[in-house]
Amino acid sequence: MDRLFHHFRWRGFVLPLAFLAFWWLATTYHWVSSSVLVPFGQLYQSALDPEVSRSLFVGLEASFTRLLEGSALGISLGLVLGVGLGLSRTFDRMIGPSFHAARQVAIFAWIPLLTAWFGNGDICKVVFVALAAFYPVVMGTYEGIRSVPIQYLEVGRVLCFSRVRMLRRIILPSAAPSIVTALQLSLIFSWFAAIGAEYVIGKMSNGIGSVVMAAQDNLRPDILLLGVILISLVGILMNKILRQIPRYLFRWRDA
Amino acid sequence: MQTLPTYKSQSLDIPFQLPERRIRRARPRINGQVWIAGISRIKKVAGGIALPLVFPALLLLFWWIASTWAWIPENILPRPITVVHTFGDLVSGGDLATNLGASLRRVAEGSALGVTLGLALGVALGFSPTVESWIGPSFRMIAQIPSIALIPLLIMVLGIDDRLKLFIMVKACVIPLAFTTADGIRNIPAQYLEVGRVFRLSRWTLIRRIILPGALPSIFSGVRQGLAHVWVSLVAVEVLASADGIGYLMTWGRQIFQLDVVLVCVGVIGVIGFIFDFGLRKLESGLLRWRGIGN
Repeated sequence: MDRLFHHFRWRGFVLPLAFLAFWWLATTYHWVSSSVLVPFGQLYQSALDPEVSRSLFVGLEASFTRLLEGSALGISLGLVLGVGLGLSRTFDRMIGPSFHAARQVAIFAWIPLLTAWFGNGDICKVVFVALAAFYPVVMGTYEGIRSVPIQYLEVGRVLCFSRVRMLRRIILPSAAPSIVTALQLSLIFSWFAAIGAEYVIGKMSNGIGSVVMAAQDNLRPDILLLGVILISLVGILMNKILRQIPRYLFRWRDA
Repeated sequence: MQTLPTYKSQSLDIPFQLPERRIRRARPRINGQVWIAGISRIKKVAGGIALPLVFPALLLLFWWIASTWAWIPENILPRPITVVHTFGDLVSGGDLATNLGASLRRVAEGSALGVTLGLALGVALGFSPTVESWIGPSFRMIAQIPSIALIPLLIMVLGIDDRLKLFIMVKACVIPLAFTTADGIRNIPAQYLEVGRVFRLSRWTLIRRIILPGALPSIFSGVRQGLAHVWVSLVAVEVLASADGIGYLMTWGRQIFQLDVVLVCVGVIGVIGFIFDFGLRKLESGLLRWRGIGN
């Protein structure tokens, strides 16, 4: 029993539990208004309300669809540009500075421009998600290809590999871990970009971010809280799952 | 940057090219050859400057043609010259200075507080296993949720004034800084710490004389990341909920459908981001020069 107690890392749970206890006390004794901090009971009630949970899950589905569309677009464009920049020095010198200049613009600064060009609908959000997914993929692919060990390239040269073979057999496998990390990063980015775009662009559309913003306008802190918790949980879950993928994919490296 | 040989040349005679070239250089040059060598050098330098400008020039040309011949309506894509004029108007009218000033003041406050807290937290997490075991797990949990996702919740709790912005900037700065600082401290070679222990340094001296200098490179990269995050997240909050600042100026321009204002703001935000990044990199390499050429 004592050993179990030592192995179980209880200390990490103290802070979250203290926070929850504070929340419970604060709502029970009305230290703060219930329009700011919702009592647990009310939160539980509204989570069970079919109307509320339906709107949240429909929103989640819509946001997730946009995430997939946008990141598919951004990742494929990013891979093409990253491979191009990594392989060709001329191309790098030509496009690289422009790319890095564009990267300096804080990503949310593109939203007003994108809403003007693509409207407030789905297209705008998909383009924004694609943009968020695009940058990390380009960077990761570029870095991965640039840091292929010279010796590997020399082996290819000694064996007189053709360009395509060099790319397929040496450069891409060697750059793969870096690329996979970049993909992981870009998917997480795109999830929060999708949510952020919905927050900014607003209530007219579907998506869980819009549900949350609508809840803010309708003074429903319970829905707002549930929505934010759901969004965060999806982000954390994605992070957990995506972290497992490279471990599985690159088992051969450790051997 | 380290130059790698390109994979393009498939010939096997690469090692033999070197002496051949040296022989050619060693030969006395007559006038014509000096002239040719000069031209090729000019070409090389011009290529280095001109090549990066090709893409922006093409883009500008396309933009100019598209707006002049009205392929795209003026209110969707303003002319380049309009954007330049608007920039002049915003500068002389003081709008840009006021709003940019408000944003930069927020950045200064946010990064001062964020860097202080982030360093303190990072040192505590990296130095003390006890602190790490109590707050490490919660911190890592919170770190996975970007402040962008929490904005509606924070608006509900903190309102939409400066407190909200300060909170978001501080969070954006503390997380990368505390992580990299803690990592940097944990990765200090054990020998250094042993030296400190042999000298029976007090805990405070140990931190000041051994741990901070040892972790300085990671701390710097953390500060750079933290400040970049401060800027990005401030722009996001200002676009979402604000009454002044560069992000507000941009949304205002969007609302009255003056995309020239929006484009000017995008440019200014990019330039500020670049100055932050470039300046901090310079500062970093300058301050870390004592570590030697190898680093």
